[in-house]
Amino acid sequence: MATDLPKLEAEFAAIAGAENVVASEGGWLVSPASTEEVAGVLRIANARGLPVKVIGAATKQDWFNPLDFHAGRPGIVLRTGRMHSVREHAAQDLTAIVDAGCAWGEMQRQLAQQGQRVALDPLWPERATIGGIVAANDSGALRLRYGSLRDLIIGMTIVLADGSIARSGGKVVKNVAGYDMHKLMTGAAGTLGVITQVNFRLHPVEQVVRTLTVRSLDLAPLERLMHEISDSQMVVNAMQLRLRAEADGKEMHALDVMFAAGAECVEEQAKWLRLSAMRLHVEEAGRGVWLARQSVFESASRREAASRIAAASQAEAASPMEAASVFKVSLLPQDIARFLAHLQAAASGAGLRCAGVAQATGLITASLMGDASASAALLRSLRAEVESRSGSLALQSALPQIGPGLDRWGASIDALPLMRRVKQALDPNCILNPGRFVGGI
Amino acid sequence: MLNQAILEDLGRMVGSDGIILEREQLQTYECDALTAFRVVPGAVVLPRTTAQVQEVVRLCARHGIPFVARGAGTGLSGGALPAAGGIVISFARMTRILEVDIANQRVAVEPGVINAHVTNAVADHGYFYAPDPSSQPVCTIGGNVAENAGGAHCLKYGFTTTHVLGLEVVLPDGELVHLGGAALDAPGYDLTGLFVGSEGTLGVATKAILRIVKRPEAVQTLLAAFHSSTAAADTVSGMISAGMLPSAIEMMDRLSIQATEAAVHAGYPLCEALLLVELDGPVSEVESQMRMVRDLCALHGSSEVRVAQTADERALIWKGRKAAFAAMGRIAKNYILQDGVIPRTALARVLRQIEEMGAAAGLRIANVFHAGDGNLHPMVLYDDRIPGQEEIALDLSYRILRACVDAGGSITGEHGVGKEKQQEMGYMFSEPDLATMQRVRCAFDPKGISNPDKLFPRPRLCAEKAGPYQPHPLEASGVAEFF
Repeated sequence: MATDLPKLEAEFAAIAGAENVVASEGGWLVSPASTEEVAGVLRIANARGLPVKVIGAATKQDWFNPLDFHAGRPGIVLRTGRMHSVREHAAQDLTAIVDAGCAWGEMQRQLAQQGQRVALDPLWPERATIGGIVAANDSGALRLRYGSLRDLIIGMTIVLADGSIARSGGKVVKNVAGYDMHKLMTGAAGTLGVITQVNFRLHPVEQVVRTLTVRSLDLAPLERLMHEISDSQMVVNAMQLRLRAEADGKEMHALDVMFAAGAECVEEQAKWLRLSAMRLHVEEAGRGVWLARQSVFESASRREAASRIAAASQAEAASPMEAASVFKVSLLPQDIARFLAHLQAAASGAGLRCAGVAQATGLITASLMGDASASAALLRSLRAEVESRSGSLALQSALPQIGPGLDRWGASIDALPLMRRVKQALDPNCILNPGRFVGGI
Repeated sequence: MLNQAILEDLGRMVGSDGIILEREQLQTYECDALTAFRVVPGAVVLPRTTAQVQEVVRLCARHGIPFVARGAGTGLSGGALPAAGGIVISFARMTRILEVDIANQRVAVEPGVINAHVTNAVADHGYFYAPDPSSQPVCTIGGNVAENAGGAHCLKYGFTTTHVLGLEVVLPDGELVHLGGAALDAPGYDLTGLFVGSEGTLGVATKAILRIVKRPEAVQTLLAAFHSSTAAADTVSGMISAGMLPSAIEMMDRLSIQATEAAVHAGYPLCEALLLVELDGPVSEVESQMRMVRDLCALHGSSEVRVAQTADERALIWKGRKAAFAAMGRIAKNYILQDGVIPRTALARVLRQIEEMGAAAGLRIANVFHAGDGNLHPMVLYDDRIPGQEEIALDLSYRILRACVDAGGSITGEHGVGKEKQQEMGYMFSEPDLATMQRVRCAFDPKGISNPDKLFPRPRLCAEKAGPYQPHPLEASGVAEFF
C-alpha cells in the first residue's frame, strides 16, 4: 500500500487539482470543486476501500462517533468548501438550488436580496454549511411553524460511494415521483452518500416579527401558557422554554414567543399574550433570545476548555475528571417542562450544573457540567426516563469526556438491521464516514 | 401460484371469513380507480391484526408470492393493481383509531381508517387532519401513506409526509419494524420519510402516528373570473410575490366549468379561467390578505369576484371543484386524468402548449389544477367508440407529462407513479437516479414481492447491475441539467 501512496495522490490531484490535495498524517485532505470531482474522488476511494470523512465547516463533528478508520489504511477527508454557490434562485417559484459547501448565512444573504429565505434557524449559521446542516438534520425554533429540513428540501444531488451521481426530487414543491431519497439523506450523517447540492423551497422573509419573553420563578405557569398558545388559533413562528441559568444570576425561567404576521395581527396576538400572562413578567425581547440553543453549546465548550486548562496545570491524578456535555432530547410536547424541572433538580442533587432550552415541538438542547462520572450516571438515568416516555436522548459532545460505555444514541431501534441493509446497499465497502452513525453504521 | 396448501394456510391465518377466493368476488379487486389496468388476484385476505399481516407476508416471502396492500382502492395510478396470482392484503377490517392525544396533537390509527374519520375524531377539540385528497370521504390512511397523498390545501399545510410522524411496518420478509415515532427526530435514518410515498414497494404499514392541526380562526374563499389563464396565473404570481401563503389556490378552465356546472350547479361564472383562493388564519390576518387578493384580481382584469360569505357558500364552491373530475362524464364519453407538475411561473406557457397539443391531436383537454403549486390535472377527453381515439388520447396524456418534465417539473404531484407512469419515470430520472432508488428497494425487499412491477420503468432483479451512465437527452442537449 505504502508504495501506492504517491500514485494515489497524483490521481486525486488529476481530479481536483494539485493545490486542492493536501497530504496529511494518515491520508489526504481533498477539496473537490464539483459533483463530478466528488464522484471521481469517491470512485478511487471505493475501489481501494479507503475511508472518507466528509466535512463542511466541521461545526458538528462531536455529534457523531469519531471516524472508524480502517486499520492501517490511509483515509481521505473530503472538504466541500469549494462548492459554495447559490446555483439558482427562482424567486417567483420560491425555490433555490444551493451547493453543499455554501455557508448557511451566505445563502440566506443571497436569498434575502429577493426578500426570501429558507425558513430554518440552524446553529452557527455563519460557519455551518448546507451539507453539514442537512447531514446532521439541525433545526431550531422556527420548526414549530415551518417544519424541519425534511419539509423544506424538495430535491438533492448526491454522490454514492461508488461515484454514481443520483438526483432525487426536483425543482417543484409538489412531487411524488420516486422515492424521497433526499429525506433518507437528511440526518444520515454522510454515511449513505455525499450531498453536493440541495434544492430548497423558500419562504418570504417576514416583515413584522416580534418576540415577547414571559418570566416566572416557577416553570409551571410558563408551561401552562405555552400549551395554551399551542392549543390556540394563534399563529406563532417559534416558542421556547428556557431553564433559568442560576450561575448567571438570572433567577427566572423564561418563555419566548415569536410572532410574525401582518402588523395588526401581531399587535393583537401580543396583546393577548400580555393579558394571558397575567401576573407574570412580560417584556419585549430582541432576536438574541433565539440564540439560546447556541449558548448552551458555547457555555459548555467554555467550561470544557477551562477544565482542561485547570487539569493540565494540576497534578494529573489529583483532581477528578471534569466534563461538559451537551445533549439533545426529544419528547412529546407535554413532557418537556417536566423534563426540564427534573433535569435541574437532579443536576443540583448530583452537584452538577445544567442548562436547557426546550422548543415547543418537543426538542430540547441541554447540558451538564461538572464531575465526569456523575454526569455520565445522570445522563444514563435521564435517558432511561426519556425513553420510557417514547423519547430519545442523543449526545452532542465528544464521548471520552463524558465516560466510556455511554452510547451516543442509546435507544434500541428495532429498525437497526434494516438501516444496516440500507447502508450496505448504498455503500457496500463502507467507506463513507464509517462507524460514525447509529449502531456503528 | 397459490396451491391448495397455501390457501389453507392463509385461511388459518386470517380465519375463514377473512379470505376471498371466489372468482366473482375477486374481480372487485382487479383494479383501483385507474380502471385501464386490470388483473384478478389469486386471493384476497382481510387481516384484523398486525400479527395476521405478518403471518401472511411471511408466507408470501416463503413462497415468493407477490402481494399488494389495499385500502379503499381510490388510487389513480394503479398502485393497488394486483399481481397475477398474487395476494391482496385488504385493510378493510383494520379500521381502528388507536389513540387520540389532543394535548400532544397526535393520533395513532390503523391503515384502514378513512382519511375524513381522523378529522371527525378530533373535530370536537377544534383540530383537523390536514391532507385532503378529493377522495377523503372514502380513501384510507394506509393508501394515503403509500402514495404520499396531497390535496388542495397542501399548498399551506404540506403533504401526507409532513403529517406522518411514525409508522409500524411489516417488511417484505415479515419482520416488524417501527419507523420514527410520536416524538420528533428518532435516532437513525429517516425511514419514515422514505417509506411515505414508496407506493407499497417497501412493505406494508400497519399503524401510523399522525400529526393533527388546530382549525384556523377564520376561513375565507374567493372566486374570481378571468378572461385568460395568463391573467389568472399572473394574479397567482402577484399573491406569491406579496409574500402570501393561501391555504389553497385552484384554477379551472372553461371546459371544466361547463362540466361542473352541468353536474353540480355550483353557480360558477362561465369564463376562460376561474380562480379559487382560500385564506385561513387569524381573523385580522385573513381579512387584510383577502383585501390584497381582491385588489390583485382587479389589477389583472378579473371580470367578477365573489367571496363566500357563509360556510354553506364555501362548501358549494368546493363541491364544484371537488366534483370536477367526475363531472367530465357530462361532456365526454371518456377521459384520461393526468397529474403533472410544473414550476408555477411556467403555468401560462405550459397551458398554452397543452392547448396546442390537444388541437394538433384533435382532442379536447379540460384543465383543473392546483395553481398555487403548479400541480396540473389535465383531462384528455375522448370517445372510445371511435376506433383509435383511445390510443391517441393515451399518447397525448403522456406527452403532456413529458412537457411538464421539460418545463422543469414532475410527472406526478399527488397520484403516484404506480403502474400508469412507470415508463415516464425513465423520462424524468436518469439511469443512476433510478438505480439508486432500486438499491434502496432491494434493501427492503430483496425478493421483489412487495407490490412488484410498479414505480420503476421496468422490473429489475435485485442482483442485476445497472448499465453505464447515460446522460438524459435533455441533459446532453444542454436544455436542463437537473430534473
